[in-house]
Amino acid sequence: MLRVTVDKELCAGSGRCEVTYPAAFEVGDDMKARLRPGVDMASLDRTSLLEAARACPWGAIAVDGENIDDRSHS
Amino acid sequence: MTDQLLPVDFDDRGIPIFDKEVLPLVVDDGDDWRSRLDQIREQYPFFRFTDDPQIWVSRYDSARHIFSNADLFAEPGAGFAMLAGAAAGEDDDRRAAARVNDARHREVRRALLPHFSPSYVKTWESSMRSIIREILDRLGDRRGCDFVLDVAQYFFPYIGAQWLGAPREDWDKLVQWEHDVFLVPPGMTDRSLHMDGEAMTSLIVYLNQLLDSARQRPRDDTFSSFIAGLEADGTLSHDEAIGSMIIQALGSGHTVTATLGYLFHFLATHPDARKDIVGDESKILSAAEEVLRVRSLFGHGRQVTEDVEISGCPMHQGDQVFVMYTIPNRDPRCFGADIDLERSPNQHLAFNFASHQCLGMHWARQSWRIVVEEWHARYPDYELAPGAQLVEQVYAGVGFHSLPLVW
Repeated sequence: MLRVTVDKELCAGSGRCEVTYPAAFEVGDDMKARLRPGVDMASLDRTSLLEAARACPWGAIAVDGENIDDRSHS
Repeated sequence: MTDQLLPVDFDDRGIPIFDKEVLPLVVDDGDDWRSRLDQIREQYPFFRFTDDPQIWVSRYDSARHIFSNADLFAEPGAGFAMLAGAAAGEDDDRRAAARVNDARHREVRRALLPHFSPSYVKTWESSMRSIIREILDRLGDRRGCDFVLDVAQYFFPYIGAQWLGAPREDWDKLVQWEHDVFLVPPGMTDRSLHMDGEAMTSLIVYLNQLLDSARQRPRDDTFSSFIAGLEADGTLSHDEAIGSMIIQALGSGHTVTATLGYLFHFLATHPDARKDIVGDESKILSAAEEVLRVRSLFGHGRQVTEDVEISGCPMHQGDQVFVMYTIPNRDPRCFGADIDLERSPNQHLAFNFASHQCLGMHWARQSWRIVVEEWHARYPDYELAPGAQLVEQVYAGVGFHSLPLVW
């Protein structure tokens, strides 16, 4: 099962994830991205999820625990 | 009651053209220039100024749409490489070229994020406090100061200089260059940024030297070493590396300085709100965010890559559009011009939006909080100096040239 997380502190609600993969993401009333309530995780496509994660200007989305923007500070 | 502003003409698309004198580059205190722009916004969703080829976008939804669609409304350069002299190219399919540029921009931005994330910025809290304390120590036993010239003008530029890895003896030089780059030169009449003056040239030479020096030394936690590392491992090109350095330095210059000027003007003139705000971290941030929304700094231009209609206005490929943030941010359809300290969420456009949202946003927010906390620990009661005549630079969002406070 895929595991998708949105870092709410990083998310600025640009909605790029929603535009890129609308079946998976939406921006809530708090202007933060989230997985669509009730979405069937088994129906989601990993490649599309990664594309949505890459579209995020703040790197707020991690797929399977891997934040694609995570790099060492040092 | 203000007379209604009328356009002096309409262009061949029916877009109204207003006299450029409606928006001077510098205004005296009491000239409520933002209210004139509010008036224009309420009459027209798009407008132009005389002698300015850009189409100005006045309403929130349209501005947000433009910022959210970087392929249709493209950066008029190549993002981080733009300031280093790279050109966007003359591709026949401008929208496809914009997509390529935007994808590259996202990659570069992603590579830079580790120095701009909230968690990284938090690691700077004690350094930021040390610097503001050092600046406030200079005030000694004085019963007043010029908040902009004595405090704000130095605070974030010093942080930026330390973060860059500039030696302490160079910090004041950087402050001066960053200040001068955005000053309105005598006789300047157009409204696009001029990046070829002496201060800018000196800054670019200095940043190139700093980057060269960082290439020679082992990686540390300075921004120049971080960039040199990204260049060395092939993540950034040479132009992108120096472009990132320039953007960091320019972003450290007038932005936080100007916003602090507006914030402390608000606090000095609203003592009841001040008492409510200063002891509460979240209220400080809400207040600062609202001041920034209502008194946003300058704006951002985009180039139309394909003929498109937006809110009834036909836009042609090659058109330049400009969003002056303060105009859509005061749009009563979403916000209005009054400060609401309880506003949440507050998705204003003062930091731009989507793929070009200001990378330094979390640096700015932490700066506001720390300066408000450290200042009020020493000077809880203060006011504008009697008779103070404030000059506000509209151009480039420099804000108040000075802000005399007394206590």
